[in-house]
Amino acid sequence: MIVDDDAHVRVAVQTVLEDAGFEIVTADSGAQCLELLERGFSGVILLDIMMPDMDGWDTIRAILEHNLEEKIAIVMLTAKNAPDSKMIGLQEYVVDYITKPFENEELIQKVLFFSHLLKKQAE
Amino acid sequence: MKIVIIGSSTGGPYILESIFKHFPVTSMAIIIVQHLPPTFTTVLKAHIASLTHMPVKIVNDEDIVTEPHIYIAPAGKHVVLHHNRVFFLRDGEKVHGVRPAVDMTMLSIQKRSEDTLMGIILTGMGRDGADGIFYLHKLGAITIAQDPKTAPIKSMPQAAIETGEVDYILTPDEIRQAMISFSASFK
Repeated sequence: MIVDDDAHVRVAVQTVLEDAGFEIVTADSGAQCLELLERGFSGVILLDIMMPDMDGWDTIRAILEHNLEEKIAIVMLTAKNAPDSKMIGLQEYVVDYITKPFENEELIQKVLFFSHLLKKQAE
Repeated sequence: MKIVIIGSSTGGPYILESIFKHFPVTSMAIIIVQHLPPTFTTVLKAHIASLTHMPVKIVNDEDIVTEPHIYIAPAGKHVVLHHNRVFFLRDGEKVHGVRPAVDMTMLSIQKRSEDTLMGIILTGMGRDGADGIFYLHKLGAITIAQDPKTAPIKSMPQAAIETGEVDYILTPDEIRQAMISFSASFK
């Protein structure tokens, strides 16, 4: 799942990952991400930090409050150069961190890696 | 006994894969303290076990430390060692916002003439592990920080480096080699 308020980023990431064979859903906000989780999404979540209303950290807190963290791996995908201190206390729930602009190969390899781990978890 | 403690957080699982892929069976007790969601501990253990022939185990309370072995701290519990030979799991408060905390494990290590020690800090947010690295180095441990240029999040290795007690700043591949060399060294 790609969660980003910037449509251009959603399309760019979706194109790269679909070309690599992944099934993709997108959300334009933290609230929509939660809706998709409530509907049963499982898999890797590429989560932007800087979004209006509910930012990436708020979104993770909401995921935890609703006990929706079991079948997901959260990877922050963000334009911020340096992660901010808001991450402290949530770092256990962020398995990786990719900075935009990203290398396509790095993005694919990391999504593949965590998808693989989640599949093992489900077995 | 040779004891290696690896502290790792966000970005760590991917780095650990590059360190342990085809990692040879070596006479070391390697303890990995990786900040992870609870549901991921078992799968990380299974994954690392698929990469190496070293035995891999999630730490249980009162487990005895043996070599060769890779031990993984369970999510949600601090891991401490008694006389470097027995694991104990502790609930306790989060330290640096995390549990397990790398510092809790490293700071529980004791100086024993029969043990040689290595402490490693990989990618992650915050400064967990910096106090532990400082302490381990004072005990005579070899200390390593992942080169921040290769870390998805630089602050944990950077904090370790800023203690002034890091011997080597290495890429993941160099860390792997350093661990293998350490296992082959005398004493």
